[in-house]
Amino acid sequence: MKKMGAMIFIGFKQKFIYKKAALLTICVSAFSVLILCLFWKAIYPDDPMMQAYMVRYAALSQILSVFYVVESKLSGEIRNGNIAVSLLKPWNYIIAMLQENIGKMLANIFLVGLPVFLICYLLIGFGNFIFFDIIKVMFTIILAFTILFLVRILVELSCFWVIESWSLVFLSDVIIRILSGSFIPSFIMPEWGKNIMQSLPFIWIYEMPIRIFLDNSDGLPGIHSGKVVLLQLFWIAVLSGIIAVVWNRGRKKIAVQGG
Amino acid sequence: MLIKNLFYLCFKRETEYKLNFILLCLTVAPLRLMFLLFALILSPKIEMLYHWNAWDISFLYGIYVVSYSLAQIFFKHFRYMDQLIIHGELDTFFTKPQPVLFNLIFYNIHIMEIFSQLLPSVIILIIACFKVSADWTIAKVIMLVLSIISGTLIQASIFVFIGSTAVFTFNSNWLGDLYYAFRDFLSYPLVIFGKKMLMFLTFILPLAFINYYPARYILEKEEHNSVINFMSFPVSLFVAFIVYQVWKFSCRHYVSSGS
Repeated sequence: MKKMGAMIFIGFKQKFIYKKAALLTICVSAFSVLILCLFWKAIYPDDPMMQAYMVRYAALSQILSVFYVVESKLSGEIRNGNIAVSLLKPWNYIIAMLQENIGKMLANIFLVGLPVFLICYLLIGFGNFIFFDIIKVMFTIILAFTILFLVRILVELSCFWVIESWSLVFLSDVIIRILSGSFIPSFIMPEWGKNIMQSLPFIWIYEMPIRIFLDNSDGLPGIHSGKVVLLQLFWIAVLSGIIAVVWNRGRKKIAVQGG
Repeated sequence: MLIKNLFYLCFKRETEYKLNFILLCLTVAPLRLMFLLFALILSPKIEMLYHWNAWDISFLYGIYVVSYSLAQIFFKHFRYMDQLIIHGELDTFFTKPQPVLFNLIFYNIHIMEIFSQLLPSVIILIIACFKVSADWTIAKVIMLVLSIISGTLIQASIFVFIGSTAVFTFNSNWLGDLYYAFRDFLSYPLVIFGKKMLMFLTFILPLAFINYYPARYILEKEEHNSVINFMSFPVSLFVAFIVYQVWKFSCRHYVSSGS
């Protein structure tokens, strides 16, 4: 627990070094929200309810994208051989990296996410939410980030077999962007798109945490947060299992020349 | 001859790791389809409200992505100018006998972009050209070619401008992000965003000249005979001239920060 706290704190502190960069990110994010608002207003000019919902959805999605940033050293370390040193350290390499990333994510929430949320709250409003809703959403966001992290690690593990995994990381980012509902939620998608999205883990990264918050604050019956958490945990377990198998096989392939 | 040799040099450099090169091409290509997919999913709504059907939107998108890909092939490097400056790598471009702008363009031709971005973009545009309901005339074909040249010039100018600011700020990431936020507009007919945004994207950030105005003439939409539809090429030359002056100014004030 002490180690975990220390790793999260390291990640947290690292992000607080670049305060000016955070200020610029706030400006760009707020501007991106404005652009998305214009877009959804244009798509639903005759349906004020849907327009308001999509504007908030887009704003929250933009805010999430600010702190859904996975910084992994895995592929780089496999390529340059530093993985050998990292594996000697007295911790689980992947869990330590996850903790560091959660620290960075929390720092991004405070530095950028909260200011942008406040700007959006003042400009477009988020309905009647209570403090408990925020706690619930925060919990699902941490689980969602864990899923995102595990998907990224799974992709980067391909480095054990191919020289450069950047292309696969890029592809996975594209797939996540399409199938997570970060731009178009599943309920707007055609039936085939909805089916694909619901059978993959990505929808639990963006769409579901956003919908928990929006549906609660708008008083809609929609999404049950307990079910979301359970399914997020299910996907975390599945991805962790796959990573464990790939990681064990990949480690046997490590060959580091020189020192 | 020099350009031909440099092209060959860049080709050799990028295809050194063949598997990686192929993987990169295959994985970056779907990115172009992602935004088109979003636009197409929303196209029934856009057609109902603004009378641009799915093929019209694909055509609009095709013009934009072909010109973007061309700009990427030669000018992508300018987007990462801050990194070149921070690491002191920009100095090497000043020491070569050719002009700095020439060096930066031709020593860094992104061959991968030809296969990963330009090729799928050209395919999208060609299919859309056959499917749109436009009556093709010589004037419209010339307009299409000019719009691609103009779009390339405008987007290349924006990349160079981003690079120029990096000389003073050492960080041009945020400007790139801001540009990308606006660039997403180009996937849709700008009429949907209202008059104010159209004015902004015409007179302040002239992105409307990349695809919207030429497409309006070719597809005979809205005010299809308006003079502004024919202004893409002169506007792109003007933008390129202004940005070239900014570039020369930033080169005069460049102070090496590397070691």
